[in-house]
Amino acid sequence: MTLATSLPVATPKHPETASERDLVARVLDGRDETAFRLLYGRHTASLYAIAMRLTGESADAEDAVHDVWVRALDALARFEWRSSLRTWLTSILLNRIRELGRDERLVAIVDEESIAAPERLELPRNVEPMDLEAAIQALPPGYRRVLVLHDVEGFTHEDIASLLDVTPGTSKSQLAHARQRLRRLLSSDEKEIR
Amino acid sequence: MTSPESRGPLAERLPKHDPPRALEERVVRTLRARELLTEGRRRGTPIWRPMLALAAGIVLFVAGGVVERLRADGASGEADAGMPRYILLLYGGGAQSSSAEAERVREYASWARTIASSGRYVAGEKLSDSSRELTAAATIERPATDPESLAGFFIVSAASAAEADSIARSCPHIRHGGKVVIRPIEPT
Repeated sequence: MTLATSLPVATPKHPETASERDLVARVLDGRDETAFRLLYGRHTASLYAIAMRLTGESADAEDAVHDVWVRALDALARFEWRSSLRTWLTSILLNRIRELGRDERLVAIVDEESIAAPERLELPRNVEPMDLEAAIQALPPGYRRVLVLHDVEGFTHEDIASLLDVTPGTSKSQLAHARQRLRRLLSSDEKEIR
Repeated sequence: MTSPESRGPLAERLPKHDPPRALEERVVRTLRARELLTEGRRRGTPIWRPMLALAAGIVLFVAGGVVERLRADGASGEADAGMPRYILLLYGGGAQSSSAEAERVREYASWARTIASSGRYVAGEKLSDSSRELTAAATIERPATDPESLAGFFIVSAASAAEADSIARSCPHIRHGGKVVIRPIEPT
């Protein structure tokens, strides 16, 4: 028997989650530690990076990620794959950060102009990684959150809309403002990020 | 819709924030305590173990001689293309009898199947005790009888070093008292 025939055939809504469904099933059915560690290894780097950028504190980020996994396994049987596992875990993380009081609600300002013509991500060349990180930290929390989720972590506006309970238009508008602010922060005459 | 590997345009321009290695064990401990995970089987450590290990080690290495493949029912090559690869070098942790060794191979193959099902398994082999060292000047037969010698390897793919660590930490070899050394494979 080859492995291909021995593995369960998954027909997920999102094809890339096929192997994750198998791992999740192993965790649910057998409390399989190996399967859990594989899921942990696959998602924790992103969760931790988001937590670090939104809380600014490694201790808070650690606590938040720890609690994400505990809550996720508590609720895993109820997870219905309506989103990807990653999006679901990130939504738990954002809730946890909100509970920790390290977050501010996204102000739902929709700027129709910026939706129609989104601000392009054009940053000065030769920006040092630490300067870019500092500039992101200097953004207002609402801008920072959308920018981190979209431009760092690669979530779509539809994902962000569901994660933050806003419309995709709000996400696009906030991203446009965030990019504009980021560029200003990184311009040579801007000193506040240093 | 995103996958764990797809990142935004700023991802490569920012410093990495790797999660602390202790965090994984903290999470696993909590989940075990809440009975959401079952701890993998652990080998007991009876007081006679060192003597038995020595005797069994001799049996094991004499019984070696043939490379035993750890392929999971022929699984290979299902890993995510283009992802960084890592070799996990397995040292020590030898089984205490030939029957335990056979059970160990089954256990490792089962683990490899799980890795394969997650799209991260590339290859794996168990090494025999037979070893030859070749230089320009000589060939030396040097059976690997040291209980801490290289016992096998796995090659896995992982999106990050942190993920490779998690894969290695899940390997049953660690539970059996062995050591796993992780080395990134340079793309050539």
